[in-house]
Amino acid sequence: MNAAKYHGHHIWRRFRRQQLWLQLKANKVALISSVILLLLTVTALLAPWLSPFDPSVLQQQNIMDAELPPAWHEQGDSRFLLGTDGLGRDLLSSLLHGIRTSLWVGFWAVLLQLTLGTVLGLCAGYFGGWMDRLVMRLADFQLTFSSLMLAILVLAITRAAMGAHDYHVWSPWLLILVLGLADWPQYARTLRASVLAEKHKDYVAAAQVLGYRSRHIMVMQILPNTLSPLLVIATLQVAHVILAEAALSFLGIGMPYGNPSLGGMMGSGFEYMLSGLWWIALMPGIALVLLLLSINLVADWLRDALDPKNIGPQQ
Amino acid sequence: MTQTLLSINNLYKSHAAPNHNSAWWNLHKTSYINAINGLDISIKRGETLCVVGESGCGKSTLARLVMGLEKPDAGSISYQGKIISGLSDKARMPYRRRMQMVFQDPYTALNPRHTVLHALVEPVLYHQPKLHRQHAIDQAMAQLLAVGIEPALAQRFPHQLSGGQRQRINIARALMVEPEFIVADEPLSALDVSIQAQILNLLAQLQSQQQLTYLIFSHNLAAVEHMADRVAVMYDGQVCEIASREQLFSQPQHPYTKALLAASPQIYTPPNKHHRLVGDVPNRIPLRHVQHGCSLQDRCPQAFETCRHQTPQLTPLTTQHAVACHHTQPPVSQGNSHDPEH
Amino acid sequence: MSLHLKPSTRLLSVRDLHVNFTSRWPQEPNIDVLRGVSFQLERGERLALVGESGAGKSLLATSIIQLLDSSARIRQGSVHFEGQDLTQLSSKQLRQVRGHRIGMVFQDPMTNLNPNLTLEQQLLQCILSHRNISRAEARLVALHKLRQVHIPAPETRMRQYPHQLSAGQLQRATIAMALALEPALIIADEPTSALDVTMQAEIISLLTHLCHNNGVALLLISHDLSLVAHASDRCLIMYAGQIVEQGHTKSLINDAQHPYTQSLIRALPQMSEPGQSLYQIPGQMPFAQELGNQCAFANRCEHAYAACWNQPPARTVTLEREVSCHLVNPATAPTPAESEP
Repeated sequence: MNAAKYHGHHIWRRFRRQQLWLQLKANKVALISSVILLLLTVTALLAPWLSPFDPSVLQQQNIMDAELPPAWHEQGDSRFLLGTDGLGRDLLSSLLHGIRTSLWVGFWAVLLQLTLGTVLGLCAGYFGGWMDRLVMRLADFQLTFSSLMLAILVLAITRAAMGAHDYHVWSPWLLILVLGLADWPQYARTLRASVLAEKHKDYVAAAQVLGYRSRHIMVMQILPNTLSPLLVIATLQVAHVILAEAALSFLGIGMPYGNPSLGGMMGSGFEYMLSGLWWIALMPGIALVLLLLSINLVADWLRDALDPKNIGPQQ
Repeated sequence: MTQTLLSINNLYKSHAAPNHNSAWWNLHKTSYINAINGLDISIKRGETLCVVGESGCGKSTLARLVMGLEKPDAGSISYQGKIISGLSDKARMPYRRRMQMVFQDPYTALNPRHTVLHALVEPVLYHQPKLHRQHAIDQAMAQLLAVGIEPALAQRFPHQLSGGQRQRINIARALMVEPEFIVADEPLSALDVSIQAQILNLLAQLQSQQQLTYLIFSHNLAAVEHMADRVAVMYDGQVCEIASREQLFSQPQHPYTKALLAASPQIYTPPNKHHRLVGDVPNRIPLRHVQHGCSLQDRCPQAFETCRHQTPQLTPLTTQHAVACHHTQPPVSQGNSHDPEH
Repeated sequence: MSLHLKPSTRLLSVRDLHVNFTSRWPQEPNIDVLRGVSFQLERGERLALVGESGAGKSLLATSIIQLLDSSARIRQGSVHFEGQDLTQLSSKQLRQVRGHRIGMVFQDPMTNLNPNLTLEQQLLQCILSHRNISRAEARLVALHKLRQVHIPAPETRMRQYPHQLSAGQLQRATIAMALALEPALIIADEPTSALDVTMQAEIISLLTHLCHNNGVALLLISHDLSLVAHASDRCLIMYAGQIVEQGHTKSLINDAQHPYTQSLIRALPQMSEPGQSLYQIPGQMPFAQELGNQCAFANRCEHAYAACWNQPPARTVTLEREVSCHLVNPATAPTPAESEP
């Protein structure tokens, strides 16, 4: 469709004109956060190659190496930069894989939520009538259940139904599905409110007068003006999903044993806190906080930077 | 022999009204406001008909009905003899390209996230998907020149332009699909007086270049006097006076028309204290009882008994001039058998 | 009423006011948007401020009452009101002035008033915050003001919320609120732009009569010269952040001396025959960043000559008029060769 190709090209040219780099340089907080986030993402993606050990390979673990403190500590071992956990696994490697898992789950779950919520919210807002009522009742229904509670319920039942082995294979995707489906109402509701506000503006009437079909108007005309709140929600949700996954893994129902997860590490390391082996739980905790904080700060900046009203100094 | 391009026949449209003053036992009842109350207008090809009216007279509703954004409750709208008012979206499509609209607020009429060029290219590419992108861009740039916008502004966003420039772009966008009939809903009211002159000139120029027919809604009588061939005055969903430009401005008959003319600011003439209407345009809260008679009765300085009982009909005075007022036609006496409900 | 006023009758005196905006891009310098505005207002006088969008009229109004946006700053100049320089006052002192000594009427009646409070609550809030009277007395004052602005059945209307009133009634209520504390000056910024024609005439007439009868000075801002032509004693014409002409309204519209004022009048539809092309001022008003060391109107003026491009015009002050134009300035008036078209 020629119009869509033109639109894509147009978005790219506009993107370049936003001069994101200049805006990033101007905002110190955003700059630092995005550097941190970039580092975390890159190291996470390259985790299989970067990490000194492979946490899922049991042969590499030596129970004799267990409970070693970080390298800078007097009892530390230079092989294990951040120490080892109760089973002798290198904490740094586990961390890298854990961050990778978090980002993976976060990305896919939020993509699912975003797509579902956007489609439903757009249709509800634009068409109104029975579609609006149906979507909103579904959303109300969904919102009455706490997403975490729902996740626990679904995962526990599935584990019981599938058996340990199948569950092991399917659980990452199941987790993504559950977390993704849990929070779509937020997007739908917000988008619906924005669409309702935009629907009455003259440019939508102009689009109708020009003969555009509903789908074209919804996606090409209205959606771009309603993206800002969606972006905020989406990025906050990445943090939320990561946290939810960590919580579930902490409780033992998220990522199964063998799939490294920051929450899981914190869960198993929790018992050691009182014995004075603080690094086992604290390291993943710090990593989690760093990840969440940098995501939120970058998201905040990005939303402001992409506003067309902030086109650069020269006309 | 100029043909009739657009014909509005006995049009009725009502809106559901917000129920402000209702007690709780009445909340379930939907009240209705009659936005259009029996309207008849016809427009000939090539002419400029200006509809004058203030807020609440129904002109926005009329504009939307003509453009097919809403469907009337009763009556019809015909274009070149064919009824277009009840058509489905698909059947309406060929007419969409022939009838276009310019909106009141130039800022909200443009998508804030699209550049000027995009706004102009999109309609062309949408209706002609096989057209090469560059051709569409060329057409858009040509149109920009035709409305007096320099090509350098094509990459700008609406918030980077002035009000006058935005309105020109709205006009350019309407012209991209090569229409023959343009409805303009208060095209000047959001603009400064000095910019209004530019837009008026542009509209006149485009009309003669492209043989356009205009239906312009405006409450700016100075501009209407300059632009119109015929003028219709609307109040509360009905036409109260319709005449050629010369006739309306030199010999207004309806009290509302006279009030409008008197209120219109003139730079060298002090304001006219006569012909003042009392009170405000009726608040759009539906009345508990149906109002009989002329809708101007509460405000008209010349209202008398008949005005409260009978709705005046639009009666021709000359071939060019029709008025709906009891003062210009003998009231029809029906005796005491016709007793109003209060 | 001469232009050189005695100190006792001078209510407002704005001198050489320069206001700039801080740019959000560090590489852009701060440009003055108001560039040396000076005028005076006498007690009870009605002054019109006319100019296009972007000329700086609303900015001037907000600069006078010191309610500027956080990114705008008064770089230079003073605003003397009733003997005090408002630019030097603290926020506490300014709060005494605003509302009490200076009332404001803004453009959009739908958003002027708080939609969550009834008229009565808002009026009482306004009156009681500045005057130490009882609630019942304040209510009487409020009723009196509403009657003055010709709102029918004010006792009932007072208890209604803004959304239950029409635009015309809301604007009247706004005027009532502005007058409630009997200020010395009312600033009305495009008070009728959002209203219909019949309502416009009513409101302007109401505003000017009330001010005249109560001895309240009025600063009426508009983009429409014909609207204020019969509603003001004196008139200021603003262009690109400066006042280009000021004088008595009647003589100004009959004998405009600045080419911009002349163009504004010529561009009115009533000045052309129907069907004829209207006079339009070519080009558009330059942005603050585009102004160089020249007359701001030079690129749109049909009388522009050498001096117009070389230096900004100085103010020529006569008994009746102040004009900033090279044409009327004897020092830089055009030679016979230059004044040929």
